[in-house]
Amino acid sequence: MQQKNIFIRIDDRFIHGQVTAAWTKKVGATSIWVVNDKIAGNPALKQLQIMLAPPGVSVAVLKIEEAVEKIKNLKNNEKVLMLFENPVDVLAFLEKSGVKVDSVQLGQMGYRAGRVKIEKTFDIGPEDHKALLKLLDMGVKLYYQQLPDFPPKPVDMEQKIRSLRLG
Amino acid sequence: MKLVLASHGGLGCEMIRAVAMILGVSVLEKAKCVELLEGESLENYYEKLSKSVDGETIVLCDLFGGTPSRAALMLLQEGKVKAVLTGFNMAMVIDLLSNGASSAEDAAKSARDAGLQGIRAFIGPSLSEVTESPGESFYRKNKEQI
Repeated sequence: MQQKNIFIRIDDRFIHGQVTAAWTKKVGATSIWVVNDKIAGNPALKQLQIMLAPPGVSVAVLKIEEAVEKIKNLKNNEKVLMLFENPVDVLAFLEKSGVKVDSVQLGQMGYRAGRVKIEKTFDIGPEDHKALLKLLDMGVKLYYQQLPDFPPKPVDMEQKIRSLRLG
Repeated sequence: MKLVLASHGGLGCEMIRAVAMILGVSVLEKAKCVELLEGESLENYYEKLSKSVDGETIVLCDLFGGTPSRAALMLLQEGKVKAVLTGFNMAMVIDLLSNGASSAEDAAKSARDAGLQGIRAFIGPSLSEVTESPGESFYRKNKEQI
């Protein structure tokens, strides 16, 4: 099933003040799901995420398995901004739930040892690269865009990701 | 009491220099700054900030919700700093460095009040002032309850 009422963004800061507020507005989201096993399993991190939510939007902090269950009951009049830490988690969610999406937005993944910069605020490691290739093969479009108005147009990442050689 | 200004780029460091123009250079020893660099991860910034604080530190952040505030709130949850204030402005920093409050809680309250009072909006040549805002009515309501 093609799921039109979810918007998937990869941003390892998850709910992040004005960045998330900007995307919530742009997407017209009625709720935000933070999908991450580590945060969902840690009450302190969970509390911080809920505290940082933009006003008027409901927030759920879910493990991947929980998101797979919750998506089954999503109503048509709801619109969810889903935030993931990395493409590996996105792939796991899409595979386990069977949900199909047109595109996944690449927002931010900070630099770490072993990662390679593919866009200004997006660095990936070998596992991330594999997951991104898999997403492309599933027909998912990958766009890089950090903020709604900057850069003004999302960057199609397919060619760059396909030609990248990692580990 | 130790102050650390946590900000995007050099805002915090420059704020300390600006406040030193009013309160004198002794400020440079009382307040430190920790800059978030462009593209820096939360983890990295958290590590950096945690090295500049102790259990008595009050952290002032530039923007609620941004990476500096998130790292500061994590440290607060872990008991590694005393208090966190967000949305710092000059009035707030000056108050913290000069109000002489004995407890971190009093210092934080006083600084927040000073910061809010320092924000005013004037419109047009008649200098008519915008007096009602959600923030202000919230602030007044809370004050009335005390």
